Amino acid sequence: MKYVEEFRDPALGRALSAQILSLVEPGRHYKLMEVCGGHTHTIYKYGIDDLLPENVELVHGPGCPVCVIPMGRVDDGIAIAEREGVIFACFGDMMRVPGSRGTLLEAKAAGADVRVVYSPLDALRLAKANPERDVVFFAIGFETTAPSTALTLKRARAEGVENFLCMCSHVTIVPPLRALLDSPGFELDGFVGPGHVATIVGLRPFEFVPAEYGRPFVASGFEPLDVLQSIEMILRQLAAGRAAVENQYTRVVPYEGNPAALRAMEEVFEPRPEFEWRGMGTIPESALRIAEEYAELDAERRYPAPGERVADPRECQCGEVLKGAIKPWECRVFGTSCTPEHAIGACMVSPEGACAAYYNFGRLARRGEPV
Amino acid sequence: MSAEPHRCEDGTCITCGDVALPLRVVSLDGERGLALCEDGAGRRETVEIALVAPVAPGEELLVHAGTAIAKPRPGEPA
Repeated sequence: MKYVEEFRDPALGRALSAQILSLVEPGRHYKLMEVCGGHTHTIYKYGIDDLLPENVELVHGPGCPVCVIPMGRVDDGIAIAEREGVIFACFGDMMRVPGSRGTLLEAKAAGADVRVVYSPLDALRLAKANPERDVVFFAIGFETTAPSTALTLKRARAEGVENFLCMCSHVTIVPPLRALLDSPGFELDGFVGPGHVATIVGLRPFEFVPAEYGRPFVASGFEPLDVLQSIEMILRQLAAGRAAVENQYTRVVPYEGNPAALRAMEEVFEPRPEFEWRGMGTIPESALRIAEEYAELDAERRYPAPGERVADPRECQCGEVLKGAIKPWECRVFGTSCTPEHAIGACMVSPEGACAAYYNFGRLARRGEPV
Repeated sequence: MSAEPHRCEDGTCITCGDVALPLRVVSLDGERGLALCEDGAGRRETVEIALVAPVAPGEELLVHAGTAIAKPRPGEPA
């Protein structure tokens, strides 16, 4: 398929791998973060870290949308899902993210009407097919997904669908990146930037990374060669002693982003004063809620939820994994009491979660030890 | 129409993973701002096109969560 096969070419991969080797200084350790869970998935599915020199380390960032949703938010979703007459619609991975009283999947098993949808449009379709019931869409995701929700809310209003509501839990990428860069002891040489978020917001919002923190930032595509080339571009900047925002994913990412998407988001959403991130605490203006103008479509206004802050399970180290402070296998419950089938932390739920990516692709052993 | 594609296959939710798929436009519903699109295997789905309009049948779109977020431009892989 066009735009797919040519980005998986093994000969080009080997050439890039050799190029990378020529750019690294022996004795220097390089720590790069892939921000997006989609990249984490590509790296482990295709074994990209095995193509890198020993002194280039990849750490996994906070860009997995389900992994960052805190337990209290899952509890709120379940509370709404359990209401009489409600159909609760959410994306597949969200079904298995544990709250303090279990998962949405368990709530469904206990009788709540919870349905998996692939898109906000699917949820709107459910609302039209069930006019006597309220359909509440649990909207999660970064700026890649938020425009889709915004357009669907506009469509619901335009088409006069009154039983479609949204529990908005969209998050934004820049505030957690800044929080990471500001956290004490955080050491990093550069970012493999989230290509699909950049498709929407453009590259300008990431200029602060080189300007204020002196780190390279390369917006990257999701095929294996995309990720390898982005790593090469970061190392090339480091070798030349410079830091800039660069675009590896030129076939998709425009510098200015997608103006129609930004307009739709601005019309429908407003920043939340603060939002709790799993394992990272509360970060100011890091999430979106439905603006006053669209209040009648806001599930949280119609169905006030408990909104209680719930501490993550004590044994779970998702927070440290999300900050790149530890590798998934360094977590004390990884692969023992926490597995994709029975996840304790959200990073083990989504295949884009760093823990699930390690677990599913068999990278259970420490580097250098036989797997 | 074939079975609806790109759901949460193999235990993977592609929407949660910020994945976007290249799909080709088959036909347009101009009035509702929607396009019927298909992937390389002929699986079809309805796609919101407000962010990339105007589009024409035969064009390739990058689709995430039922919404086209970009029209890929030709690029060299490496």
